[in-house]
Amino acid sequence: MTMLALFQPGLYHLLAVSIALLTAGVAVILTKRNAVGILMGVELILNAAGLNFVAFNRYVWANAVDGQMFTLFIIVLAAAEAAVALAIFLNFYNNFDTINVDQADELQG
Amino acid sequence: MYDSLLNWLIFTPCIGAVLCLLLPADKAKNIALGTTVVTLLMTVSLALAFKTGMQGPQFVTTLDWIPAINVQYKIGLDGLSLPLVVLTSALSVLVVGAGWKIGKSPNVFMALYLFLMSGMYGVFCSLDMVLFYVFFEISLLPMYFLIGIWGGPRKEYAAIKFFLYTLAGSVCLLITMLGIYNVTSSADFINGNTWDMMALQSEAVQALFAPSGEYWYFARWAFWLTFIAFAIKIPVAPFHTWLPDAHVEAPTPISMILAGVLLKMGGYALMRITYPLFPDAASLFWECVATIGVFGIIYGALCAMAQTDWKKLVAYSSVSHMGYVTLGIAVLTRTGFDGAYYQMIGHGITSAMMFFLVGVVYERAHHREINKFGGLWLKWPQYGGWSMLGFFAGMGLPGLCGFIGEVMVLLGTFHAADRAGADPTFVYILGSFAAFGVVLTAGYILWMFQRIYMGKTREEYEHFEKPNAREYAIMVTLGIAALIFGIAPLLVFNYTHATFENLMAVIGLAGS
Amino acid sequence: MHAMLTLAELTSDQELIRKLLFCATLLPLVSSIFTLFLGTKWLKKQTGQFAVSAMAMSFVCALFAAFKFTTGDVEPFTWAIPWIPIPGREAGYLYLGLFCDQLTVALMVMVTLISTLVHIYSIGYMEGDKRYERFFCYLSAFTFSMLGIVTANGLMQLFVFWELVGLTSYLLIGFWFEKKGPQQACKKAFVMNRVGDTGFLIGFGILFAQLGGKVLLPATDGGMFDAIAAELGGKAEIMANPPMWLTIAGIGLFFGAIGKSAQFPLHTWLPDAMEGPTPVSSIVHSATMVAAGVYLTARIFPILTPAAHLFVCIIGLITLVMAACMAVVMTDIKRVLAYSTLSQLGYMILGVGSGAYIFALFHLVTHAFFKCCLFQCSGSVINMAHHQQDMRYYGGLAKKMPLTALAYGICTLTISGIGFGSWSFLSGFYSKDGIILGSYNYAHELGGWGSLFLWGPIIVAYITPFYMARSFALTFLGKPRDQHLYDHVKEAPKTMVGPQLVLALFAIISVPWILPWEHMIEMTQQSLVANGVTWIPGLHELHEAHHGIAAPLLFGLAGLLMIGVGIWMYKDGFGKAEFLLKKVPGLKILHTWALNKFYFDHLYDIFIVKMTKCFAGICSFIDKWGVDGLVNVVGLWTKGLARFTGGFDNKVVDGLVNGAANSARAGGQALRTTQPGRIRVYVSLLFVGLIIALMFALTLVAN
Repeated sequence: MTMLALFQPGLYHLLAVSIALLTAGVAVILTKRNAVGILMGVELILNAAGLNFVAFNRYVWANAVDGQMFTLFIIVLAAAEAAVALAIFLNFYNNFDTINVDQADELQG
Repeated sequence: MYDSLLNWLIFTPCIGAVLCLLLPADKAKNIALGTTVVTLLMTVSLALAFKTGMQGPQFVTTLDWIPAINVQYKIGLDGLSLPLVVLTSALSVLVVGAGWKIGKSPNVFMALYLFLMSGMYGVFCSLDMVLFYVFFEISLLPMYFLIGIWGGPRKEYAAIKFFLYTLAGSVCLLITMLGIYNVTSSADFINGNTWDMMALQSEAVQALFAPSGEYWYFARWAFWLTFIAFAIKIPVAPFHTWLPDAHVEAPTPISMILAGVLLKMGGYALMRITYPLFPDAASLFWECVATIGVFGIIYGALCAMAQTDWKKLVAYSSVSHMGYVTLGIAVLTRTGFDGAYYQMIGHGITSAMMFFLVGVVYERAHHREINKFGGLWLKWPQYGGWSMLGFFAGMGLPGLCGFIGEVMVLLGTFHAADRAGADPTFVYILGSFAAFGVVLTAGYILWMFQRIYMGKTREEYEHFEKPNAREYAIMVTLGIAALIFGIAPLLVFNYTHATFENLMAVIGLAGS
Repeated sequence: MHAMLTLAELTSDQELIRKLLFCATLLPLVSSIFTLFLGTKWLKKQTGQFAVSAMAMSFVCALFAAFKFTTGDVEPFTWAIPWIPIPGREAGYLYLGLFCDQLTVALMVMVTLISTLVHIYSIGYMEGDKRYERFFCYLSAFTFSMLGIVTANGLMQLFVFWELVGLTSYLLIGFWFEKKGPQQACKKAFVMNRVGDTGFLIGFGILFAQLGGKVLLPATDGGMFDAIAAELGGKAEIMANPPMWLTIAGIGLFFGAIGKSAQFPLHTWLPDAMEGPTPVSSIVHSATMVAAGVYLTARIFPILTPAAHLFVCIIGLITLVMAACMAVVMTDIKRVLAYSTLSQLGYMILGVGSGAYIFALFHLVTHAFFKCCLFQCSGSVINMAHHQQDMRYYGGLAKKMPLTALAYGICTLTISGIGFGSWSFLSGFYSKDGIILGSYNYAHELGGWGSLFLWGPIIVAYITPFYMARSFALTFLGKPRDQHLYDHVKEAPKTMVGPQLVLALFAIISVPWILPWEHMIEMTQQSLVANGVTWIPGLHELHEAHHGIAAPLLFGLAGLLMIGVGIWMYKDGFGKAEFLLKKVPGLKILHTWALNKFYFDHLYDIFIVKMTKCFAGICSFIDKWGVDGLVNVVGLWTKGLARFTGGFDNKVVDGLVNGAANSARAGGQALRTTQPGRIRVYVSLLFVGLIIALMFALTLVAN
């Protein structure tokens, strides 16, 4: 394994990007109080997952298209999720005049 | 035909009871009266068809009931049961009359009463122990409600006490019955296990319960268990304390039937079950049982003397009088048995009459405090006259029905002196104490009579309305019965004679 | 049922007598029932006449039967029907029936005669009473019961009627039950009689136990107990070798007589019974009922053992002396007569006990007449004196009511036993003399302290004329002590005076004319010899000796003397007596004692009545708190046990189930803190978890 090979884009690089995305998403969720921000963090995590699927598909079972399929699903899911989440946020805003998630502790056990 | 009539006799009151509940409440009294009259007629026709010379039961119906454990529906009448059935029927009519003015839901009252009648008939007619037990228990339940609903201030206490006390006795009976059932399985000469009372009196079973028999130990226990079961019902002192409470709280008609018939179940069952089944145990323990009987006579009389509640006095007089029944049975002589039986009949008449006489006054005065009465004789001369008849019959005055039972029991007691194994001195002392009861009885009855009937009429009773025709009819009927049975005891003994002959043979005292 | 007893076929004469006696017995009953139900509605004021005519018919029947019996030379006979079965004994039954011998017919005549006279007397005496009709009902019922005793053919039948006379006596004493006195008196009479009856029942029971059904058999020729005595080897054998049980049985039976004849110690009811109307006192409590005890004792004579004889005599003697003492001090005229009755009954009992039982029965008859008459006279006085019974308010009444005084006087002489030598025109002399003769023999037999049995009756023979003369003098002689009362008194109406005079006549003639004296001595001797009574071997000789010398001196003339003393002392009131009381030491105490009836009433009240009541109270207390308390305690314990098991069930068994739920809840409570509802927390936890899971997975892979 050479240094070149090290820079040769491969699975591990993609996984590294994915981890970065995931970490960024989590960090966003943990730090943001704004609901939309959190939603964006979630999107990041989803994208990290989607990247994983594509990456593994490419490098492990190159002839298969399952990974791509799942990634497509994830994109759709993310869209749907975003739509639902935004609807919830709207309602939440209507009721509480804010979208600060710390205020949303009605379901506290 | 008569066989089925006996079945009808037992279940007609049930039909009447159902009718009472179904039809409008104001019809209930008439239905009850009609039912009791019908049963009375049935009883009379049974008595007329009864063959006096026959020892065994007549009009027998036998049906399998619970074949798995050989329980039969077996009923019949013999000399031991017939007079008591007649007493029940006759008293029933009068009791309905006495309850004519019951205010609170008369239909339920009458229905319960009619159920009670079925139970009483069943007890006196059953020839199968399980059937007997069932009827014995059935008769408790209506009584519980009759006291508990229509009773006086402490009715709940009295009803519960009556119920539990008698039930405790029933448990003893049940234990013995189960034991007997098991024992009979080992008597292979019998066709399997049996509850049939007649079969249980057979020599084969008797041999098991004899001192030499296999089950002598059991027989001794069983004797005491059944004795206690029935002693509670009689009631024998010291198992009597449910009685004063039950009587004091019960309404008049219920007191009448309780004292008149229900107590007799105990004495009847002693003669029907305990003594014929365990004669050897009975003769082993006779001194003890007889002492209990005499104790009851004296103790009941003394307690009666101390009462200031009129009805309680009469209730304790029942304890005293039923002591003669216990004594008469305990001494194991034919005269004693006859006397005890007659005492039951006589007491059935007199106690019902005494309770009714109390009830008539109570209905008007709303209290029973003896010391607050006075001069009733002056106020109602006729009522006073009949009262005297009733109370003096209870006192055992010759020519009235109380006398014959008492004197026969006394003679029967002395008669025991020459039975084998009896100590004459003990018998004499026993007889002397029993005879002394006569003085105490006179004491408390006359003292009561003086305080209630004699003297000037008190002001508060001046406005009392006279007893009406219905009340007089009941008094007069009972009074005349007291007189007739005091003069003609053979009326009863003609029916009982053959059966008692047989009973004595079973107990092993034939000819004594 | 059992084999019936076969009785001898009755001859036609016997059959006739049986029917007559039957009628005589049942007529009063019929009359009684009739007046009970129809008296107040139909008969009203005619009730008296109706009852009297029924009684008169009864008397005629009895008289005719007696006539037939004595003239026709009829054998005694018995007739019976079975009543109560007593199985397993040879008799098989208690019988109801009739036994007829000389004594029966004689007493039948006596009772019906006296009863008829008393009925007549009552028409006058009870006039205007608001329960006039009822009185005749009771009186007739009493007569029926009394006749039942007389005709009874067995001890148990006797007992039945014995109780019935007790009942009627109760009703009659308590006739004026509005007042406290009669109430107490009638109850007392009944209960004390019952005490005696208990003894009777015990005695009878012992006989029954020992002898079996023989005691139930109807009486045979010789009376109720001859057959039984014969069974035991005859009276001679009984006297020689008395079995213990027979003594007890005899004394037991005699207790019945003690109760009925008011002997010591059951004597206190009789004076109290004077609370009843005077006609009642005259028939029930002097002439007939109380004599029934003597009759019973005479009937059981054949089975009395020597010890029983002694007992009977002692009881008779005590009563005799004690009652006479009390009669001397009483001021209530009826009470004087009551104690006199007691004393005379004591004579009779002593007579039976000492063997002279024929004389005792004879005295029973004579006493019945004169005592009935005395009571009727006292009743007339009381009635006229507006129910003032105290002699302290009387005096000089002879002028106002001469006929009554005459009758009273005759009977006073009779009861005093006035005689001249061995002859008297008064029946009382003969009968009392016979009894003293018997006791003389008995004292002779016993010797030593037994002479009490001689001196007791003789002393009382002196006291009797004295207290009778006292009552006569206080009532009829001297000056009136209550002028107001005296002014209102007049001679009693004919219906009252008539019977008095008839009775006085019978008091004179009843015996010497009907039954010759010598004949009676013969009879006594025969029956005693037949019964093997050893202490009368030379009765006749003794009689000669005693009668020839002692009798006239001892009481024939002594009676006259004592009457004189009595009249002299009391003719002018109580002055002389009070003087004596002051002067003679000790007399005052005796007087007080006697006046308080020797404190027997107090004694009984404290020791018997109070104690029984106290005992009853204790019993009741024990019953309530002991026996019933035990039951309640058992109930409470059961309840307590139920509470305990209930608690166990609640806390432990159910606790397990609840515990599971509770711990789940507690767990939830603890865990809920991890669910704050903040997304950041969730997410961070998620990642922490994820990291932990990854590390765990990695360690697994690494290993």
